[in-house]
Amino acid sequence: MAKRLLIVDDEETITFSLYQSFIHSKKDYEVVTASSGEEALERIHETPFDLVVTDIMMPGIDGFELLNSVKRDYPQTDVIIMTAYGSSIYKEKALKEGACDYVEKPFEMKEFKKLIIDLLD
Amino acid sequence: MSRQFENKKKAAITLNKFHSALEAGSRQPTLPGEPDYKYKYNLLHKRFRELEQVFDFHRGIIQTISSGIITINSQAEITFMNRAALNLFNCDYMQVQGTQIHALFADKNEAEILLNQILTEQKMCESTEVHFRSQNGDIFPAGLTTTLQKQPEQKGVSGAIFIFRNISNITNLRRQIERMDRLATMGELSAGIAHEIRNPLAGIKSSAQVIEESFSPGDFRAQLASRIVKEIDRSNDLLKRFFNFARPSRARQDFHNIEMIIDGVYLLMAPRFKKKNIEFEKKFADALPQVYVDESQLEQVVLNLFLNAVDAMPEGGKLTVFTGVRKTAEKSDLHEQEQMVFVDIADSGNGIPQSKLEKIFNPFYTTKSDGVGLGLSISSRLLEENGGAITVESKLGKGSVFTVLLPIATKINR
Ligand SMILES: Nc1ncnc2c1ncn2[C@@H]1O[C@H](COP(=O)(O)OP(=O)(O)O)[C@@H](O)[C@H]1O
Ligand SMILES: [Mg+2]
Repeated sequence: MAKRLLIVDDEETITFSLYQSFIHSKKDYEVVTASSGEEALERIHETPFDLVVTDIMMPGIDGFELLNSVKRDYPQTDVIIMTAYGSSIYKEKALKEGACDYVEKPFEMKEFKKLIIDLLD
Repeated sequence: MSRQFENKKKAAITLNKFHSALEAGSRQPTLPGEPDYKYKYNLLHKRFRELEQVFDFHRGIIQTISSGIITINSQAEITFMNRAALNLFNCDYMQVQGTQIHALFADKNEAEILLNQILTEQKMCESTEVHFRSQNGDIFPAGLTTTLQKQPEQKGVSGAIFIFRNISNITNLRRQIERMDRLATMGELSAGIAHEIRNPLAGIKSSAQVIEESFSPGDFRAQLASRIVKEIDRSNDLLKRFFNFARPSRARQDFHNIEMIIDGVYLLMAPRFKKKNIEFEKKFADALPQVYVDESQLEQVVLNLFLNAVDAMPEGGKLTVFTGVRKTAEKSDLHEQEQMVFVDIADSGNGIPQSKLEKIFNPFYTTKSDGVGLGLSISSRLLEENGGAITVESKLGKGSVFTVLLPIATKINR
């Protein structure tokens, strides 16, 4: 079965570009995007994912809340936190709460993709 | 008030003489009815004595009280100043007696408005902040309360009493707090802005990279996309640098010898001092305790202050660095330590106008054509991180003294 990847960000340029990048790559991942924490949880409840990549600052359910409920209800699912905060103030918090990595925006697409592929394969 | 008092005193003396004369006369045979006359004078004299005592008592209170007291008549002319007032204004009563009180204010217009309120509109001040100017030109903020004096039968005001205190200490503290506030707000603001800018940057960058990937590396479209990415990285670097200012990295404090730090920066600056004709002198105190600071952050602070001093002395001059231990004001002050190491960096440059003294610590405040205006705000922020503080004193045309206060190493029990 194809690995499932969920990309969550209220910045649609981010979700769209990541999505495009994966569907045009040789990997046959199932890539889904969500533009809010609420939408992400809906998608996850429908069918669980192998990896969730989420932004922190989103209106409504934010990245940390999403991380917590995923880790509680779907402990198998990996979570990567990404943020546009310039300092690593949230890094420790993210890792402590169970995220498997922390990425600062703007990121290098190549490195970010490698990180995701390593986790999924 | 004092003139009235003088008159009473003169009257008492005259009375005293009169009384002595009577006393002397009493040895002569008395005419009928005279003893009664003498008795009345005795009584009157006693009353005067008592009155004099009451006067002295009140006078003592007024003269020893730590608040400044000034009285004026309805023409706003000074009729009395107590000792505290004379000290605060650094003046002689004879100089100011009978002159208009306006001259004591830093701003004549402000004085005009205030006195009009008091004498014409009969409004009183209650702990109002005003600025006075002492005889030697120093301006100090004062908390002022006024009371009207009225004559029972007359309609208008016969004068007013000014009671005030020098509040520069309170004002300095308040300024320091405001500055910290501003920097904190600044930090939050810039963190917010940085976040808001970084998000679209991230979107542009990843989109450009997807485009780049979809062409072969030699393709001009891939090259264009890669240029977009480079420019984004450049903007992001800029943002990072600004962000670092807003939230300096946690100070890595350790025990350091402040003199070594100053000497290190001096070595760096020495060629420039020489070129700009600046004489450098250090007056370091003996056996100065170590300070608990982040060395590189402190170097940055000293460097900023040296650079500013050089800029302030385009025609050359003298830069003196003093060190020592100073008691910080009260425990209730911003600092917990009772003793701190101080570094005074004094230049003989063009100085800073009084009205700009609080502005210079604001981010982006600069008077230089090639200035950025971040030196002092960063320094202030860095010192705060290190448990220190920075203050400034300046005389226009004479020079400025920047004082850096640093926590003493032995006082830290960590
Ligand atoms: N030693 C000094 N003498 C006179 N003015 C000074 C001195 N230090 C700082 N200033 C004033 O404070 C302003 C802000 O200083 P700073 O924050 O270091 O920024 P910049 O040096 O880039 O202007 C200067 O532009 C100058 O007007
Ligand atoms: Mg400067």
